Amino acid sequence: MTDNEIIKLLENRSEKGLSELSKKFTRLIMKITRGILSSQTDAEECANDTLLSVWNAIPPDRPDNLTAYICKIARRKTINRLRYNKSPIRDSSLLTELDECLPSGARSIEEAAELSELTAALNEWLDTLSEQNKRLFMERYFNALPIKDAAKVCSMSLTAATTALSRMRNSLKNYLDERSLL
Amino acid sequence: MNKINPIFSALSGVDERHVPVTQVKRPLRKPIMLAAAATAAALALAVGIRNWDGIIGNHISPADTSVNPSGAVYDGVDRTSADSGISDSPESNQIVIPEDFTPLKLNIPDDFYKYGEIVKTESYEMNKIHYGRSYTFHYDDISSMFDEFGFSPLINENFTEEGVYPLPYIFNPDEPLVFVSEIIDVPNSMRVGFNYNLYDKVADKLIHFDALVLSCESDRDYFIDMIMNYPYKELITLDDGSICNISYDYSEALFFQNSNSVFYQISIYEHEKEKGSSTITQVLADLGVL
Repeated sequence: MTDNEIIKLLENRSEKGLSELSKKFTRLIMKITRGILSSQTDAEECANDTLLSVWNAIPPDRPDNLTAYICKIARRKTINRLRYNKSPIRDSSLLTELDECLPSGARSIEEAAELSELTAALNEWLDTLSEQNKRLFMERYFNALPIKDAAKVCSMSLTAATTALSRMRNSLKNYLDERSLL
Repeated sequence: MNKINPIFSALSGVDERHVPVTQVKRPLRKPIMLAAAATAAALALAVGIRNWDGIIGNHISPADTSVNPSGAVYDGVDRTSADSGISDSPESNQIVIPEDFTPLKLNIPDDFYKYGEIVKTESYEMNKIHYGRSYTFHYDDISSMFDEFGFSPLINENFTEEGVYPLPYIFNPDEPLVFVSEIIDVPNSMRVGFNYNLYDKVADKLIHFDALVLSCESDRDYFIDMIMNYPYKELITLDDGSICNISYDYSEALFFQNSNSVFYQISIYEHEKEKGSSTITQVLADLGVL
């Protein structure tokens, strides 16, 4: 079933829309939630929460890109779970790596997270990357794939991916520093 | 509170155009039990109509509606009297397959079967379900198979015993757990011990399974161990109106996938088909589990 067909079902409040949504996207959602959360149960709950959120949001929302829309919701749900449920992150190196982009004494999570400028800057910075590098960065830090899996997805060797990620983190740090965002 | 890197958080808000949208092509990081021995289509299809679509089985057999009230599968043949569970001819059977039933939905492509050696000659396909085939896998094939399909096999060669086909034990804690077994024509005692050994090897991993579905009533000690030692989140019995009392000559297992794309395992062990009269619920009740 196409994304548009699923959206139409959701707009018509058809429960089939929810089941089709689940059938098509649960695996993808679980990739994100399970990639970040160490707890399988938490990951499954976040996946269910994501599906419910999509069900509640469409309508009135009508995303142009249903997959990306769902990924973003899944990620938010997962991070909320991390934050509020004290659920340990599955791969601690994921955040440690990104900490390289932060100066020491970075502001609190809440303060920083509220900075819409940061997201805007990330959007701009991502635009500066090659498609392959952007994909690699997002697979690693958005979808929380292990580096070796992200490398595989991007048809890169593990070494090349590790190096590219390191360079991108440096690049991001400089980019954010120049804009005094962190 | 977990310290969450603000960049990591902020990434959730980036434009959708930046979000990788490739669908997942590999199984979830969930353990999967794959038994390449003869599988029970009767059970599979009965389970399938409970919204657990995506069953894969290499041995699709009909079931007797007298023990399968769901009517998902029917041929009027008393399977308990069949020697292997493999039907002899397509004409003798009528398999009713739900329209939305897609047996190869677990991202295991058709090519998967090329690694199987057909050990029974009665073989044909019906509605894309491989029917009446029994597959035997060998070490080299298994390695190739999982290389090709993205698994990381670890082969435990301890299970090569005379009369028992090689049983690859494939496990990597960071990868889906895939277990391929094939047991043919071995004495019951060997088979039981065999399975005990196997589960001892993976016991600490079995907690990852969400459910255990049992479908036969023999070898209760085995079930006791399975049920009592491993904290399955869910115990599904098969005589809840869908199916019960399946009896086969082989150890059997099959895949299925529920609507949440979570893989479960079904293991069916029937060693003494003469005892195939009671239901699993009776067994579990006798055991004090239910």
